Amino acid sequence: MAVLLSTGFGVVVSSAGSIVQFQHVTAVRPTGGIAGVSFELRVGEVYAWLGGPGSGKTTIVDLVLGFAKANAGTVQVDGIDPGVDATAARNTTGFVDGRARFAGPMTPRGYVHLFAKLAGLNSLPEERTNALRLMGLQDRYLARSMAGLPHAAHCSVMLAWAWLRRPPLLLLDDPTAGFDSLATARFIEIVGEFRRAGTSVLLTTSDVLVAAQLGDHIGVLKRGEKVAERHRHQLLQESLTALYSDYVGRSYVKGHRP
Amino acid sequence: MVWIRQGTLVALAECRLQVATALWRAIVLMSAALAVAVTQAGLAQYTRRQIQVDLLVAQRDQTAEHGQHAVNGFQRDEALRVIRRPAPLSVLVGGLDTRLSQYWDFGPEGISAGATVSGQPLVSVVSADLDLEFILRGLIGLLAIAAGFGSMAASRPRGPTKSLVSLPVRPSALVAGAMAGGTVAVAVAAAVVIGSAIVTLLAGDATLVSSDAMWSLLLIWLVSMWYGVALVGTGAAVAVLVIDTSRALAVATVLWLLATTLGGPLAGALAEGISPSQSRTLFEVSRNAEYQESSLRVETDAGRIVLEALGATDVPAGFQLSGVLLERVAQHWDRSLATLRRRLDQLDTDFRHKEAARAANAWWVGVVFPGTAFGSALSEVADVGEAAAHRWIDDGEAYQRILSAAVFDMRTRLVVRLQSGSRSRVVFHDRGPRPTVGELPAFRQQKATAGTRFSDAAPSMLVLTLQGVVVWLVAIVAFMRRPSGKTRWL
Repeated sequence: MAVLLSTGFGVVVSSAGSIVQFQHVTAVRPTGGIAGVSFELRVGEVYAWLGGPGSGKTTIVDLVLGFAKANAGTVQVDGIDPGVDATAARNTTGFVDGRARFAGPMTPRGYVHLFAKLAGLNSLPEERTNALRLMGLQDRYLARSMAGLPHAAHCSVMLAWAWLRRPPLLLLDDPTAGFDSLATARFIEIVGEFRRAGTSVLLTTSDVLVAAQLGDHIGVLKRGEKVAERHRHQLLQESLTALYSDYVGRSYVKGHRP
Repeated sequence: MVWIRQGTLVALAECRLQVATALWRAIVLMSAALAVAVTQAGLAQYTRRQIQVDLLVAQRDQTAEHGQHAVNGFQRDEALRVIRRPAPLSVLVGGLDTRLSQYWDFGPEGISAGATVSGQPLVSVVSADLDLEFILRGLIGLLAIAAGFGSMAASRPRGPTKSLVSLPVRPSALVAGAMAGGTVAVAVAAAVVIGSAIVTLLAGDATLVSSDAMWSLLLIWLVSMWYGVALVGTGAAVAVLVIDTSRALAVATVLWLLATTLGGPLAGALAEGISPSQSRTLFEVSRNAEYQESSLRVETDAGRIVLEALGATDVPAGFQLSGVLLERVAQHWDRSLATLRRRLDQLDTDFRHKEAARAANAWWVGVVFPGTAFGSALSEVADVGEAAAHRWIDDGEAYQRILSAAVFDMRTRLVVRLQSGSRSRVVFHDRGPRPTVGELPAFRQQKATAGTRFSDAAPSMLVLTLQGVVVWLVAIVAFMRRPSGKTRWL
């Protein structure tokens, strides 16, 4: 199925199917490496990686952005090997680091403006404000220092920046860590907006509900290995609690599957 | 162009972030308050020193009898004393100003140094050690290391650097921009601190803030910024190279102590071990003793010449030198004095060479530490450094040479010591009128312009530049190549 997508750079991406492809990828790291992982993110879809801490989720993101190199296997991002040309790979991606905290006294508006200027992207103040609003930032936070804002606001800044840029691929690395249920629900809506705009999304999370609600495909990572992969329809027929306890968290009773 | 634009944007953002931190504000506030306090203390000390100088000048002028005092030429004369006024900017930067002799005395044996201010009880230890240079070196140094550390500590796993690098931004522009922003924040801090000192100076004694002094103050700020560049780079390099935050903080603290505070004394001890410093007083005592001994020998030899010429063992009472004998004695004196002068000059030269070698060793050992190089550069631009000291010594020695040629080596009174058994009798002959102080050439003091002071500071600034370039390159290359946490930035 050929898909045509309009990107923020005015480039039309033509793809026969996948925008991210991992084939038997191994990346050795002191902690959180991956071993023999394969998956494919198809254009316009959401692939969610589910795993606990140290399972290798961030390594997958780093490999896509070219922050890490594969020791074995191949990584392709929109036909580019990020290990060879990281800048080109980053040009096609928007990235939201769920752990990033921006410092004050710069405001959410200020950060989005800075990012836009750094990337040489022309945007009007109203566009930036609207993007921040669309990404769930409350009006009272727009002009306040980032220092005192809740975690979700930090995430909104990167999402707003990605929204302005509209890259073909959006990487979300554990974005809902520390979110309350309201913020999580809003986040799910926001990802829906990106999806409707034709952006492919690669998500890593330890939240099984987020993975289940957003992912067209859900891969499960445990100690760097892909231990399961489900389509959303398959997942809906499974016990999410069991899936979580089996692969992500600890069992309720050791040695006993509830 | 893109690199510069991206770097500038990051620098401006980083500067805004740094200036807003509580640490920046606390250090700047404390430094500014201390700058006001030390400037006031410096002003008080400057006033005391001016009073001392006025007293010395009055004493000298009284002896000189308004230039009518006749110089005998065979002993040190206080009427020829040259007195040094304190450097105006010693109010802010002590440097070597209080360690230099307050005056030079001139005599046939050579130049003699007067007492130093720092050896006098009136001067408090605090104002001698705690000056604007100390504040800039210690506190602004701390701020610079913290700024560099902060600009790169963002690359820790919880920071936003990963998000920034994921943008279509060149990583080198990002890291260089962040460090440049930290440096600008340090420059702003230094400007605030120096500005506080200037305001205090203007309120205390506006005459000290001449246009020349303003140039020096501008240079002080420039040197502070240079110093900031080196220390921002140091902080950034530590933050990038040492992954563990607490370990990185410990390393940064040790480096700050070494670079700003402990480095100087350590370098001083090392330099002293390599080439121990000499006491000028001891040198003068030994040189003067040699002069006295030689003079006595010349006098005795003159007596022997007289007795041999007369073919007698003694001379009658009321004996006067005249004719051929006088000519022979005069020739003996002139020849002997010329030889003695060469010997004394050689002693002076040897002493100067040893001092210069010691100073050079101390400089080379010291400049390893940015704080010491900064102190050296700052003293030079404030006209209280090694170069200013050398100018003062050179001026004194030049005047000594003028006086030696004009009066000391052209002795108006010839002394003949007649040795007869155990008895010794002295016969004088005044061969001309004694010159008065007014007739002798005046002392000339070299004035250092802002350009001269800047060139004096250039070697230390060059070392600071080299240090800055090295640490910046280390930080940039490490950021580009070395994993930060688990991340490789390229």
